[in-house]
Amino acid sequence: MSHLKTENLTYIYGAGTPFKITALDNVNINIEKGDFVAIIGHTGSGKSTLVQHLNGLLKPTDGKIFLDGEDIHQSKSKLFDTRFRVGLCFQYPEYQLFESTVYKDIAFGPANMGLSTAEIDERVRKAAKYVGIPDEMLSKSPFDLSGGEKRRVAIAGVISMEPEILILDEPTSGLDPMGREQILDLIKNYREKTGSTVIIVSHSMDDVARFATKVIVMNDSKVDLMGTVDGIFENSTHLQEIGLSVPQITEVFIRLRKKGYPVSEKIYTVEQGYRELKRLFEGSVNND
Amino acid sequence: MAIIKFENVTFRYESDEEGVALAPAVKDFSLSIEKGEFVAILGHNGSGKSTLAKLANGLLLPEKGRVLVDGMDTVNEEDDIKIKQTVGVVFQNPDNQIVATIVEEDVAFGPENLGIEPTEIRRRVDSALKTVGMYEYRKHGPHKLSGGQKQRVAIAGIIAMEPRCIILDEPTAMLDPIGRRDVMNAIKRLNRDLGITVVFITHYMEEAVEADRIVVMDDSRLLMDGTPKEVFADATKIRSIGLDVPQTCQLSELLRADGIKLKNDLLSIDELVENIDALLKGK
Amino acid sequence: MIKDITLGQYFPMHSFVHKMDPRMKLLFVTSFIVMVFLSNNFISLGFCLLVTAFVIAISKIPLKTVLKGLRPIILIIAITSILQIAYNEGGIVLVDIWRIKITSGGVLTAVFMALRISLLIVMSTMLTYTTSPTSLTNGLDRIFAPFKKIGLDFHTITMIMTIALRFIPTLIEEVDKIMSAQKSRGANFEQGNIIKRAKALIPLFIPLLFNSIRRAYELANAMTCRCYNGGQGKTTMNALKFSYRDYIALGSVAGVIASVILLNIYCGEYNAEFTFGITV
Repeated sequence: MSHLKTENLTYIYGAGTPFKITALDNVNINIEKGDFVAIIGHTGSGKSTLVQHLNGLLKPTDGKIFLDGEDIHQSKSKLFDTRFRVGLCFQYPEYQLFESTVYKDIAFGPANMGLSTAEIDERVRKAAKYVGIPDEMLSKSPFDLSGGEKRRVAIAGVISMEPEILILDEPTSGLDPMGREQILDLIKNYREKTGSTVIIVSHSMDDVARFATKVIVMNDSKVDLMGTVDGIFENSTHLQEIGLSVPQITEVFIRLRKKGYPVSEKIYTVEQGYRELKRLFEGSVNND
Repeated sequence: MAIIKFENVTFRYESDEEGVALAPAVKDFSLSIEKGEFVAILGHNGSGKSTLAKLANGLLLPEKGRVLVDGMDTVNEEDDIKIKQTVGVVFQNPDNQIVATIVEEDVAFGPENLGIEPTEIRRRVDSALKTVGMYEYRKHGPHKLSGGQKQRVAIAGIIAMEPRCIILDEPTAMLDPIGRRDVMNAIKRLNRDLGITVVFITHYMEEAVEADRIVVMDDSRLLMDGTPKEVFADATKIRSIGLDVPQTCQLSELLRADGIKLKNDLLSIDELVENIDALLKGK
Repeated sequence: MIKDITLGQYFPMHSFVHKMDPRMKLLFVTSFIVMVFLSNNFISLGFCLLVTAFVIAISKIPLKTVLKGLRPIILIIAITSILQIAYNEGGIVLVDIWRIKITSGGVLTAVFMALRISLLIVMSTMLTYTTSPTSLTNGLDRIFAPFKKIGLDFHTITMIMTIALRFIPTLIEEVDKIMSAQKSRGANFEQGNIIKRAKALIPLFIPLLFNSIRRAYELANAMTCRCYNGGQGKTTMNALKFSYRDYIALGSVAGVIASVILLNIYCGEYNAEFTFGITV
């Protein structure tokens, strides 16, 4: 049985008014336990609307969402429960910090779950560790931290609820290369250590190519493609048509193949490219 | 004469609480930007690059050294308006730069403040909006536009003041790939077609590559200054300060280490593919 | 979407009224309101009703939309009318059952008052329906410009109004986003007593406040970079200029004032018996 699933999910903003916009059109996705899913698409493709349905924040105009086979909208308590089981971290989450200390901010979620002080304390410290926030920072005001630190505190605020599924909406946007690397690493480590299912919303193909086990491409409010990284990048021309780019390195190999060289087109990282080219150069030496 | 000249500039932000002095945001920085150049300033967050933008038009004043805009020292208050008119600045968040509720009225804001004749303002607003490709949206409300469109409106608002130099402080950091591409194209047009000097502050190396000259900032100082090819040829150095190098450079670097004689300054896909092709055919 | 809520109820259309100078519209509405108050008989007020109907007709705004503007004050009109009917004892007794006594004077006064209030509201909403907030602010800015000489700086106030109008949609969007984010962490904005609900708003208002301060700071920088110096020597691209429409409107203002005064004098002061006599 699938872990999280949508069935004919449709969402219309401002239904019944002249401003109505179909944000999701008959979306069917299927996520298994332990998946590392990347949802990609350009702005306005419906990807953010989709993830806000997955934790029950938005109520579908039509269709259903199932968590472990149960409709998340079947009752109010089920819905409340879903919020904690499916943790959603918004884009630019640092702008939602509000407490007087980092500790209290990370504790907000667990406190809302009604946990005991001891349990909350344990979770806060665990979450802080996952995101690399040292103990002495916990007593600081979140507003005194650097941009990258704030972002990590905000992510810890979701991780501390110990969700079975962690969703991050564009977790690296606005960060510099080092900050981006740190965030992606911590997400990877978190997933490896906890075995939780992770969903990342992104428009960066480079990030996706390195980590994802499953890719969902959204375009024009619909699921455009769904499959493995290999399967998705096979359609590089199509991806470019819908406003997404493939990694520079992939493009290099597509061009080489067009020139008649026997190289694989399924190259998404510099490391893979290096090995493939080395093989090509060595092969040409042997032919001499 | 250089359009902007930093002479041994040091600047530190005022310490807010307890009077603990902060480390300087810019340290003993010298740089000369010539008319018509397209310069990218590359550096990670906190390297001091955004402070440069505010120093360059007198929004901030140096603690030591001086900043000259077209020969005018930014500390001279009587030249303030002239300096701000010569060097326009576009900031990161497009939402927080748009003043009016209608696109064309926002673009008119700068020229209006300068006391320019209404008919001339109209001409400038229309031409600025056409340059950034937002003319069809002139009657729209800014809140209905995408991030990239808003940023292009903000750029139009600056070019309507007809500055000779425009500084863009991470204008694409909050945009998606499409918005980023559109803004980038608009900036290139300013430099190429209008001859406006462009100083482009960014941490995206793929954007910096588009410039004629790259200045790399690290730890509040100038670290490197050269053409994109010169700068990225030293991939190790760039990476050591937490910045990316183009994947093409990374790849050629790895292969060169194995004795494959690729060039070390292959910035574009075309260049790399051709170099590989030439090497393989040469054999 | 929440940001699609129209602000200031502006109804963009191409009509004579829409194209009028905002200053002239303000003048027209102000004098009209005074005239409605001065009208002391049904004929004068009827004339004002005709003027209103004419303005609605040439503005091309659907009557239904205009009447919708009255919805929020229906209760006020109803209460006023009931009080008039209950306490006014002039004219012929129409109904007299048990302790309820309704007189013709009461009914007519109620109608008179209701009509008067409705006209005031309808004409004011016509102003906001046909004038964009920006244009209205522009008009106010220009009207109050001369006051600067006597030390009253209205420019700052109108600049604040413009920025507020500009940022309301941005802030609505932001509230929406922060609320969703806090709800995702289990915040509950909908349940509990007043104290609990007020407390639940802290996670919303603190970030909103911090973000707004940051925005204000950035906006101030951006405005400085665009040579803003408090509106000194500022020109305007869309300089307000009176067109033939505005001269027509100016003539109409004079016409309305004259008509109401003449009708007031010649038709006499409204008086329950007299009017009733005519209507019967």
